[in-house]
Amino acid sequence: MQLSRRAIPYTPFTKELAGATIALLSTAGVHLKSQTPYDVEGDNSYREIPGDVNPGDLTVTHAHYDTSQALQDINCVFPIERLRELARDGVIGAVAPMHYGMMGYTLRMKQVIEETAPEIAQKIEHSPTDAVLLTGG
Amino acid sequence: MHVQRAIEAAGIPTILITVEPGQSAQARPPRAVHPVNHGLGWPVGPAGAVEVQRKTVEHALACLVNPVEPGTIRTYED
Repeated sequence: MQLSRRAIPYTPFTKELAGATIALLSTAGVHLKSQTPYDVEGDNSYREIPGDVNPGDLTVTHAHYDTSQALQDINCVFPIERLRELARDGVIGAVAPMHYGMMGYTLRMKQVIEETAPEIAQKIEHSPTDAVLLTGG
Repeated sequence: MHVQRAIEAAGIPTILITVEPGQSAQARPPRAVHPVNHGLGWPVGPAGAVEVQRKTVEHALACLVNPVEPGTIRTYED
């Protein structure tokens, strides 16, 4: 089903936050150092980032914002350690097993709308995830 | 953000932290929060500022629980 641009899809959050599993999705160009970097000229691909990732194994590739803060501390754009702390303290239920990175700059928006976005949505839908926290660059 | 709309349409609630509210508004996000003191490259908070980052994440997650009209970008000041 294709929603019109004017319509806003909306799913109520019905769980208790303290029992909810949360995933991250960042369009700030986050990826594992071992994964292929994004093409800064435009890239609509995405990277899967495991929930138990070592933050030191993450980096950012993006040419449209100053990445110096994120390169120092990935949590500026991908707050995985903050999420773990919230899970440890019982504010949220759990950190999701998989999180997602994108670069958020593409000249092929149609492909993002028709392919990338539905593919990520389907993966999240079929994973134990109750809500997604998104961050830009 | 089109991917946010797709996830929400698939039945998973979402919340966006944005430091570009004008640009984000064009994509009509289901839920969004704008930390007004944060800048491009550090939407969650400055490098090493654990408490600031944590509060931003907590505030964003609280926006899941306390809904306002879809499409509204709420401001947040820390």
